Amino acid sequence: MPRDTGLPPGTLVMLILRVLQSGPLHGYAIAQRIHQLSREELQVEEGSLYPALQKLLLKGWVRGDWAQSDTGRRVRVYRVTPAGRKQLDLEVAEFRRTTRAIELLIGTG
Amino acid sequence: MTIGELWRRLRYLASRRRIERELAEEMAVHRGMMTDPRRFGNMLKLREDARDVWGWGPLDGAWQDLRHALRALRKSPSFSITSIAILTLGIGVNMTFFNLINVTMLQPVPIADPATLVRFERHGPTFSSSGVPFPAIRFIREHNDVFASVLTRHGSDVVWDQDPASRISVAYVSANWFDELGFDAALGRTFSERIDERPGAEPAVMVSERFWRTTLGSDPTVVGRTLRLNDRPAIVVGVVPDGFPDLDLRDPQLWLPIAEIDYFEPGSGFKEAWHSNNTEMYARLRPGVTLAAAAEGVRPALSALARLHPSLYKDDEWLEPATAEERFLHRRDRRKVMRIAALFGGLTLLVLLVACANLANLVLSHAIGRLREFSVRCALGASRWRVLRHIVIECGILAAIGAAGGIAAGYASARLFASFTTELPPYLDFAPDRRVLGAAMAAVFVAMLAFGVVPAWMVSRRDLIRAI
Repeated sequence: MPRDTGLPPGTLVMLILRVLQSGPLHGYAIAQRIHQLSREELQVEEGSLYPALQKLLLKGWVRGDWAQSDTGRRVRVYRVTPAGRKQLDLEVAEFRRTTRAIELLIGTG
Repeated sequence: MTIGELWRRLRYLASRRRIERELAEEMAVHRGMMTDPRRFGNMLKLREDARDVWGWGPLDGAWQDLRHALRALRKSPSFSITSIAILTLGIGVNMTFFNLINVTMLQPVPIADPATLVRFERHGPTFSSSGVPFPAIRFIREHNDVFASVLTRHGSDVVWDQDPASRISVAYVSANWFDELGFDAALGRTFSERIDERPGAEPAVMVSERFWRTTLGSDPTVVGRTLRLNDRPAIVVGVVPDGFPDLDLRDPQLWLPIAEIDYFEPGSGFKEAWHSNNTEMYARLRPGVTLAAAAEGVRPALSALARLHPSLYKDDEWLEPATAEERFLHRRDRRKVMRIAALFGGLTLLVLLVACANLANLVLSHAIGRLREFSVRCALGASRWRVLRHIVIECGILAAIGAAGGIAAGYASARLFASFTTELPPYLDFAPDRRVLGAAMAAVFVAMLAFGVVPAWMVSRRDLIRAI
């Protein structure tokens, strides 16, 4: 698997769902947005982005529709489904719980 | 996996060409937007990774292997044909034997509702007899409330005046015989209690379809014709269709009403022979009566018989029931017969194993000859498991064709066997049923283990890369 710079394992699905929550995006834009919003700390490799997007489609958490981009090209735009929103809440809560626990552990150390 | 997910997976399978094309297009667009498109990586690899998400990968691989294996087998026809011939023979021997066992012992007797048709045999602490005295059966029929009806049969033979040199096998049966077993006449009518068991009934005879065809010249006006049997006239009332199982693998040519036995065999005293176990006793159980309840239900009648004829019937004897569904074999007898059958089955299985051992050699040498091919596949990135799977699939195809051939050969040779021996009636139906298919699957499994897996394993253990 290609390495993702700075991306904690298992969080990619959550991050994609999160950036899609503010509006539909195509694949390249998703990677860009994650990069920007993380103040260029996180970088998503295409090698994991597309399998992850396929998985989201399979799970029914996002929908993909073809549309015209700003530059006039045909692109596939992903948007979150209600099931995806629920999954995002779930994963965020779970992630917070885990990081808090890890913080606690590191802090006491 | 949720239902929705399964549905999306299936929909993916249905329109995967379009979906994969879209994915490729999407990736191309993505790469076009990048400042440094070279960083995108190998598109084919990325597409494969994305495709794997949908979970059809292993199936794809199996399908590829199957097609590849078929091509490979077509390329070496002599190997394929020899293997299939060996397997057909090996499996065929097993299927022949299994067919005979299946038709004679495993399948229920092919009559209406075999589960409630029960045969009773006379058993005591020191004796057992397959028959019951005719007058005793009549007595039991009048003195129980577990039987819906009672059927009787007595096998014998008669002299026909057209062919006095040979004796013709007949079955004396109760008039309800054909109705209760669920068979109609091929021509004319079957016996009927109303007509053939009333006092002064005209002596009637039914002829088997085969007898009608071969001896009576397929006479279409046979119904109403008079046959002289034991020098007494009897009127043909009907033709019994081929395929009528006269219970217990028998094949009489004529049927006569058991009520008329004194007419055809005067002076035999058959109907009053309290001492002779001369009659087979069958009964249709009332709905809901179990075998145990039936055995219990005839006990009062047996006790009454023991009081009436203390010298002939004992208080400690019983009637042992067995249904047509279990082929009238009592559990103990069945075990005994099955042990013998298993012994012979083991022998035929040995034949298959020997055949497979030979075949394993053939497969191995064939595989060794293709080591180069396997090495190239490994060098191109095939995993060892993939190469091994290919050999196993090739063997699976051979085994499947061999099994189909084996089933056909088993069917043909079982029929041939049945036509040679006089022990088996001609109406037996050897058409493969689910038991036969199951046995064939088992034979294939054994064969595959014996000739496919071992060579595959031996080949895959070699250092394929170095073989180039």
